[in-house]
Amino acid sequence: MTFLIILLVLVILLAMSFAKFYNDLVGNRNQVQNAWAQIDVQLKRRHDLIPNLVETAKGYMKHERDTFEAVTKARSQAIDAKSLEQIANSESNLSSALQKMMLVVENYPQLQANQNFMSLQEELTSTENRISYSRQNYNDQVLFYNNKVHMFPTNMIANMFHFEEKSSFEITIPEERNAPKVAF
Amino acid sequence: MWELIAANRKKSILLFSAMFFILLTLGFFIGYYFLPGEYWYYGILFAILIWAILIGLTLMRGEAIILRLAEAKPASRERFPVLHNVTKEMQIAANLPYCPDVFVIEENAPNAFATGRNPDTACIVVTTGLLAVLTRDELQGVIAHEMSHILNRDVLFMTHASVMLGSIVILSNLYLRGMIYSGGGRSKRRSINRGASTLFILSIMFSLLSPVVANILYFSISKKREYLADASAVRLTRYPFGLMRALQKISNSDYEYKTPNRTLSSFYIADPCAHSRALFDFQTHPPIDKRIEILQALTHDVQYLTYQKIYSKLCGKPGKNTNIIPSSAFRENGNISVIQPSKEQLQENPIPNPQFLMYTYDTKEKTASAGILHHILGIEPETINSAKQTSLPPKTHPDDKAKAIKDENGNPVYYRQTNGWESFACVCGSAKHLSPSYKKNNLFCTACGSDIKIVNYDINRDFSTAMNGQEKNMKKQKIEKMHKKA
Repeated sequence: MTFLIILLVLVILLAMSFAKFYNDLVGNRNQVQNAWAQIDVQLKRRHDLIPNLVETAKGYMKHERDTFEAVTKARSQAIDAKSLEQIANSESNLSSALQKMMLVVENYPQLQANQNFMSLQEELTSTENRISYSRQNYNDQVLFYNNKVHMFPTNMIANMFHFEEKSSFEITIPEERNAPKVAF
Repeated sequence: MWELIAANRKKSILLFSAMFFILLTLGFFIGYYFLPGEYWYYGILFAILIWAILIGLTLMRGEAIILRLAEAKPASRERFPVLHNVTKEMQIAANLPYCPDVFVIEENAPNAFATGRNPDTACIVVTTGLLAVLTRDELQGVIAHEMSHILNRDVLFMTHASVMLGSIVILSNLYLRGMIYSGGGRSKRRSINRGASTLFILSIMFSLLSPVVANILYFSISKKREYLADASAVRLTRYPFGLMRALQKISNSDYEYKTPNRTLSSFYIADPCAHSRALFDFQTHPPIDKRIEILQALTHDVQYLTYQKIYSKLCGKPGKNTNIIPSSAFRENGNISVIQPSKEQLQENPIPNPQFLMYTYDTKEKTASAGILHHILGIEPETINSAKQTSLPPKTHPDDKAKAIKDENGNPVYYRQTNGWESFACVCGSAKHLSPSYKKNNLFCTACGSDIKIVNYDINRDFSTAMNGQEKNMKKQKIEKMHKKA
């Protein structure tokens, strides 16, 4: 009788921990998806911002057609991108095209003094930051999730229910703010 | 992140039980000395009632009360777009479900705090002086610090702890006052009883000491939380230099907080009462120099473990537990290295957003004929204590271009480049600062003893004297550029 009760308690404990591990995994996977959605929102925000920016700048920069075309083309490619790899590549291209455009803008002080352009520029700076922070958050969440998928005991449940490893999202931007060369 | 919250919760529960014990003991003494014999337990009920009323008020209208006490107003998107954007960026980095509301205080002293019971109702409050002196990267550091307070549930902790502290202070005041006015309360009648008189002395001691003990308990943990918030903030921004510069600017500012509210002082990023704090007053904040020093040492990566190691090295005493970060937070891997400054950060600019500084006017009271008092505009405060005000921007080293030069007679002369705040280097190399209201034609350098001639700003100024061709062009271009920007 006592043996049966002990067995019953053990089984219940096992089932409970099983359920907890499973729920944790699902929760983490949702966090990863949520973080990805956030990147997507911010990338869309950038896509929406670009036509306005280009329209405002065009009035002042009559002789920079190539620069604008590069930006517009990169934007439409980024919108059409489907796979993770495509998105990463096209967004990198868009970032560098935008950076080139903003460098050219520095030669047009009148444009830089334009109130409308200034607020658009602030929005662009903020959007770039948001993209990099949402990417940072996504990669953190992916790391957290992948650790769970590979570590004991959650890896058993992950294998059983096909929780697959996720890959982190990297956009390589030539002039991105990475580790410093100067120590402060 | 979650481990941090859990570890904090354990410590908080310990602290609250200690404070609650103090509260109940005070209640017991009140009941014992002021109520007839068999009703002594009403004192304890009274203590709990006071605490319950306070906590009820705080939970219902806590944020509103604090925001009103601090005279904070909602920040409009139109006037403060950068503040809104930076907060949103940090919300994304911190993975908070909702973006905290942002509020501003019209105040030239740079400071900031966060409030709200939980991440959903959290608010971040900054002064306009903070927005004036900080660049975008530095503002990010400050907002990330506040966001970490929200994330680590520090705001909730602080609110509960200050309510507890408040009720202890109220009760001990009540007891002591009651003792004075009733001339010793019931103890007089019991003076024959030796035990009661010992208890009486004990109770007086207890009620005198309990606010002090509660204060020490409260601040010992709130100080650690400042370090923890710094560590979490640099993890969010990955740029310790921004927060470091912000703290430097905050601690070096010469503006004093006009109406600091002492009850709120522990909420702020830096102590707003630091200027007026007496010697034996409690320090609500860890020394800001130490915080700056630690951030300065974070040159490569921003992991919690690195921060903890540097903290132990700089602030630790041998044989003493110096853990500020729960060890469960050290189980992190991956690339969390420091990032490079943005372009804006590389341009040395003492006041990036001067539009947020208020030029206030003092009013004077004057008696009119019928004995009615009316207020008239007085003198601009900047001209009264210009000696003090000129040191803003303080301790920022002027860039190479702004320096005094020697004219044809060998006398030092400096050409002002703007009408605003300006820093420049004397011929001897020491930094000088000019306020917008500095109208004198000379400035005496205390370092080398030379009298520097100051030529006021004029857009159409003749540059023929005292400057060679190259310098002339450079200055002209700079002025034109500034003019266009303005």
